[in-house]
Amino acid sequence: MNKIFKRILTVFMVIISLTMLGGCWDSKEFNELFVITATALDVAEDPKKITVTLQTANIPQGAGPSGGNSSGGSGSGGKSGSSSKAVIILKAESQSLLDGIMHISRDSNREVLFQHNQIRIIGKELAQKGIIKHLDMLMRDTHSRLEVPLAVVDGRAEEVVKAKLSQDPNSGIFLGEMFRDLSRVSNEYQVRLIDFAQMLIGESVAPIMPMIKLSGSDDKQEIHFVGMAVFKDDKMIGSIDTEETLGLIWAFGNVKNTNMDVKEEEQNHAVLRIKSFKTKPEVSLEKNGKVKINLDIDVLTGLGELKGFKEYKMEQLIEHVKKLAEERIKDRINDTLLVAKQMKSDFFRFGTLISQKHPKEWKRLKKRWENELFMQVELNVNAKVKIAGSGEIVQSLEKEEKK
Amino acid sequence: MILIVIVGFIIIALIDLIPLIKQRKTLAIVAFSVFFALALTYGLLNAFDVEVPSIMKAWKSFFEWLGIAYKVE
Amino acid sequence: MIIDKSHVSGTRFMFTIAFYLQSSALLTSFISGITEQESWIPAIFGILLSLPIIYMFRTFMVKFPDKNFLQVLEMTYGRVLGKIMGLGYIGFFINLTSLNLLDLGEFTKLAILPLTPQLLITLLCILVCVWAVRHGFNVVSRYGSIFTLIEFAIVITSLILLSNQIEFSNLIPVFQLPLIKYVQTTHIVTVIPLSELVVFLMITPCVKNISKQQATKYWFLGALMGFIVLMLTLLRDITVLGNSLHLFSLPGMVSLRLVNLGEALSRIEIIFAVGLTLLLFFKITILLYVSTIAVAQLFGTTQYKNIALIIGVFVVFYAPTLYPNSVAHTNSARTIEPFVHGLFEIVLPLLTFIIAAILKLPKDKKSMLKQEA
Repeated sequence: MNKIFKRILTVFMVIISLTMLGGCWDSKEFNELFVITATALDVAEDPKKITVTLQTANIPQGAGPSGGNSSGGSGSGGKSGSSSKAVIILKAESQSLLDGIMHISRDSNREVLFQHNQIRIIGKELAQKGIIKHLDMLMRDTHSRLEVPLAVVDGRAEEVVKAKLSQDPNSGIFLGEMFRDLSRVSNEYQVRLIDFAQMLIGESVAPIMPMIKLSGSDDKQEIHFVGMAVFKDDKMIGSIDTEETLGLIWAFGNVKNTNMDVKEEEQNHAVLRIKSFKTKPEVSLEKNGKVKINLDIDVLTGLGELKGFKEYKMEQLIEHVKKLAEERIKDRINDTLLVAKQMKSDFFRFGTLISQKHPKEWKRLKKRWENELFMQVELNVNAKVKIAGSGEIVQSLEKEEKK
Repeated sequence: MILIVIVGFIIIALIDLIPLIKQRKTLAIVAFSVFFALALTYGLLNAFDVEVPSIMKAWKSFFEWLGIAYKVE
Repeated sequence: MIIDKSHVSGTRFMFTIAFYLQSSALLTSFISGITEQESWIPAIFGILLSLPIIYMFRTFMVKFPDKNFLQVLEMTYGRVLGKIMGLGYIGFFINLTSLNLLDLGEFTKLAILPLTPQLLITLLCILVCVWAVRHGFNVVSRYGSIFTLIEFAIVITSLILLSNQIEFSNLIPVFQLPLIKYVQTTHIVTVIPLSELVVFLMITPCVKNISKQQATKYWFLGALMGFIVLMLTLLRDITVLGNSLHLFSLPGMVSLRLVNLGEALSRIEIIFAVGLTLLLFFKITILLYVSTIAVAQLFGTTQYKNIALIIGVFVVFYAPTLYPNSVAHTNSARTIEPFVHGLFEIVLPLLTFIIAAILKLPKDKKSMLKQEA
């Protein structure tokens, strides 16, 4: 009797465990989901509201004329019924991001899934108004991931989401991969939500975010990376272009898989392949609060492309190009620092550096940093460039031809 | 819900109390009954959605009365 | 009166201690919320402070190898006072069990199964724990040895995978915060998790045939393994998350979310979730075992197997009443718990230790652990 009772009890327990722990309450079927690939935030006509646009990847429901499942909001304008649209656009206007998502879910037949969100883009106007309140939900929710890159759009973010690119039908996935590629060059190119949060919390630091722009029309649109947007607290106050961004990533170092170009006059032009780029910052403080920053830069390169330089022989040429490269790095970083000073934004994160190396003095200087001391920062760049190889050919073709 | 709770407690009594009674271990029966009563009370209160005062709050008031407690940020 | 007649070897005891400490290592949000990036300093101080306390526990084991802690209390303070203090300790153990069960429930609700009723999850967990407890300490601790090594592997793997996101500059500056915060955090680290080892004083009767040196070795080696995991986890979280550390309720989970080596090796936070579930489950089993033994000891019965289930069910219903939400839980862990737990983990054992030494207990020297021959 006891044995049978025990057996029944065991079977009962197993059944309960399987059903309860299998997550029946939380089950999500694939055809009931919208897989979000991009999130876009913009200003709305009502100043208290924002426009939330979600881009989802259209999962084909099966063979035959797929009329597309455009449910909720404005569709992305597919004309012929037989070609399935690659994306579905969902749009809502609401007070906050979570509200917008709720509106969209409510008016559609599927649930919204954020785990595959490739990128979050913010329209320029909204960035200028301030974005911190919209980021709260993204940090609080377990399912939205913190390593999704952020970007500001020069224009309206929803246009990017609706864009039909010549390279990829889904602009969200395209942007995600673009930033992943850029992050292989330098970590600074890709600002994830957690990086942005760390910059916001950091010591007197101006957060930055990549900026993209949409160009072209109709079916052949293109998205370009146009630089970085500079923020003060959480409001966008300006931007720097791609040249100036170079100065920024060189100051942070750890750049690889990219090139550096060196020019002298009009006709002499060399491109160096960067193999490794290391920057070591050091900070020293003087008594009146003046800050001196010293950047020790060590670059290992190889010669990529050579044009001109007719009057030099090969070994001298290497030396000469080396010096040009060193000067180029120095000038570029100093120029970008000037731009930062004009904007009164410490996006070089010198503030954090001082707070780490000289914490006691930083406590005194903190208040004066943004408006006074940052402007007086003296930067000394010590660049050492080494050109290791010259590629497959030893002499330039141009020189050979002239002989 | 309440039914499930009551049935659950009857099952517990069946599994544990009966062997104890058979072996006549009075002290164990006493221990069992004390906790049975406590668990049943809490279980029914939970099923009826009644707010139970928390023991930790009592400790908190005690230590604050003593004057030693860290401030919350 | 020996309640649980099972024997375990000294090595298994050591691994149980290590695994128990590792369980507490994953819940570093108590510490990191106060001293943020500098949390590694009070953690080191806490570890150092806990060493004499662990030595005191080991001496209890040497002097009273066959008696669990409640019996020691009765011997020291006499029957009446001893039983009253024993009652207090039962409350303490049940409280600890409930708090850990709450942690498991909250974590599962947050990260894994948001819609399943929390009561059901905790009930299922307790039922499995009760089943383990009924079979004695042998079964309870058997699971610990292998999983200690698995947890080590998980921590080291996570360190390797996050190596490209670690910034050692996040560890400095140091000593920039007001002194009281360091004191508070050191206090927290010493009490939760390190002095929770007091519960092992209820388990010492199960460890057989060890000498004095071996007792010291097992206590401290086990504790050392736990310390290493605690420091590694804390350092990993600080160096990866930097100044955003104090925002998160589960920093370990967030660190693992950020792993992104290529496209394939991302979203591995499930490892953290699995690891945390394993650890908390083990901790709850041990605490439930200790509570059951304590109750059986107080009422003077050896039938602990039959009261395990009802105590478990009591804990399931008692736990949700403790705090209205997780924010209150974290706040209380930072402000009140160091004192409440400190009372039971440090103050009372210390008092007992001193009084027992004065009374020259144990009277029977032959029962103490021997020197190694």
